[in-house]
Amino acid sequence: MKRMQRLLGILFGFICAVQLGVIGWSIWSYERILKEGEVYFFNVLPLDPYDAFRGRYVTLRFENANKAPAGDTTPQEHRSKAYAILEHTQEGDRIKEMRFSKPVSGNFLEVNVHSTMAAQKTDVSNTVYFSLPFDRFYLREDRAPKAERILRMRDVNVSVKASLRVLNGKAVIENLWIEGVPLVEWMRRHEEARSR
Amino acid sequence: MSKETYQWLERELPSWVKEGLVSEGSAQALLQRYAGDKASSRSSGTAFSLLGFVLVGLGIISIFAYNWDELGHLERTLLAVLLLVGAQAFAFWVRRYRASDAALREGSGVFWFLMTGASLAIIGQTYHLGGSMLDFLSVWLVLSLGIAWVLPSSGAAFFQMILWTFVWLGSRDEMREVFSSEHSFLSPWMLALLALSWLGFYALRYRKERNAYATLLLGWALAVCVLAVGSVEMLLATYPEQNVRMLSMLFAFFFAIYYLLGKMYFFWGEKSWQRPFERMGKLGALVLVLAHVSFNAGTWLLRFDLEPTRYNSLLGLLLMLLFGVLLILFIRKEQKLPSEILVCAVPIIMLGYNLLHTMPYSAMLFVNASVILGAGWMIYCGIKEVTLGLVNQGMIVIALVIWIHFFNANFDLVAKGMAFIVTGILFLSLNAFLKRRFRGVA
Repeated sequence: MKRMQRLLGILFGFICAVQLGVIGWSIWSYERILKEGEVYFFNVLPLDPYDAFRGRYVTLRFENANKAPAGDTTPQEHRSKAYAILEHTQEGDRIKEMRFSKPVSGNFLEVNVHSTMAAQKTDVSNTVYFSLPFDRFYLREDRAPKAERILRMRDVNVSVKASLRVLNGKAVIENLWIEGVPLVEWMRRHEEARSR
Repeated sequence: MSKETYQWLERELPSWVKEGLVSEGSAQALLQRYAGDKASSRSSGTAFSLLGFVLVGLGIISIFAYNWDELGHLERTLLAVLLLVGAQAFAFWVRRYRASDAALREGSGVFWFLMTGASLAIIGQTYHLGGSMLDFLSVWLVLSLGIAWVLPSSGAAFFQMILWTFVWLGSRDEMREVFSSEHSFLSPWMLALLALSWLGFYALRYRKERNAYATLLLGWALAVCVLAVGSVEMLLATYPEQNVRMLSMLFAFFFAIYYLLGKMYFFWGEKSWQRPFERMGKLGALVLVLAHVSFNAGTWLLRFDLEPTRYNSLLGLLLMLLFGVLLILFIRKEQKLPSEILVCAVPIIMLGYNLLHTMPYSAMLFVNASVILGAGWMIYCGIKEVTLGLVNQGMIVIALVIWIHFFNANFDLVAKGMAFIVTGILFLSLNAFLKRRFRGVA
């Protein structure tokens, strides 16, 4: 009985350590990306859905970030992961190409490959279809629907960009920018202008 | 032993000692023997504690789901860690200093479970993590594994079961649209292994404190989760061929198995709410068979008969074998024809109905005759065993058969209203008559 209690005690400590380890490691790795990662800006189209546990968010549909030419000849069948090579250009930041083997240097991002779409298209082109591993920007409950409403009504020429911090194949969405202003700040200005 | 039975024993023992049936020492030994069971079933405090902690935990999750953007990264991450450490520390304190307080132990387990989810949710929203709800639930499931064991807490195991069921259902390829999710990172084999955790916990509770309310709570969770998983698996097994007849057969076996398991093994007392498997099995079987009594059901099913129905499902074979074994064990145990033979016979009735599908009228007559006979047998047994509940059950089934036919027919509202009034009066008068007769017998 005593041995069992001791064993359960050890298990108790182990569970606590694993839980704290996972939470702590997540915080550390994401903070590191935010601190040391390179910034890239991508055009996005936001929509407003809801998560019962994490609250309201705007879904980000990244423009020009769902297909890119394959940059290596590694067989791509049955691959679920690939690496998007990112680059800064004068027209803006973009995904240059896709690789199926992990790059040793440069800025790249691990993405999910859509195998069915890839299989359909391989015979006609060398294009890889994929989705980015993030598509959410969480906002305060009352702000998310407003943000979506305002963004839907906006002038088509107004650019909405998401800034990503990228480090060693992982990325974190840093902020949403409208005409170079952070979304929350832009919304505040927009509401002030309307009330005047 | 239930609390009521223990109290009855406490009341009876002095007179048994007086009559010399048992000695004073034996009486004390008997009371001591069942005292533990009684203590474990004093659970109204536990129920309120569980409810309280669940509400507090859900409240905290809800408050942080608001996404307070006034809080920076540091504050948010600190909150995530504090919530988790707080829940762990509280559980540790309860385990160390108040281990005998079941209410607090159960509550702290549930609170710890919920705070694990809350911490993950805060991390997710702080760093705008992608991934579906299924990913989030899968991580939560893995991280909260073992909480039920170390305290121990049936409440935490209850939530583990519910969470596991959601993840299992969401991981099925065919359910991805419903949950709008990609694959879970947990493979079916890993999920099956994870299920062993709460199944093992349940088995332990069942062996140690079978009649405790916490074990009954787990029993309900088990019944609901197995029903949910079983229903989805049966639907998926028959969906590609649109094999509705096979589906009805699978459900018939499933509900009959539930009923038999509930009758023989999975029960925690004599009251309805203490018999989740039996009640769910009976209700499911009766609804299934009653859904086939009308002629409209037969004509609706005909549209699926373009291809000959194939009864070649492995799942069907397994269910049939299990049903056969349980039925033999049940009849051996009862030593007579069971009063609720209608529920046990639902798979046979459904098989006959489906085999007669080329003759819709004969099929309908077969199922109607079977239901009326089964319900009639219930009434007969109820009168013989002086059980009013059984008589009423049989009468309700017959009344439902009549009403279904009545509503299918083109009678006007007045006629339908009259049918209700007549059957209502019949019920009332027969009940009054039987009550008087049963009182006479008693």
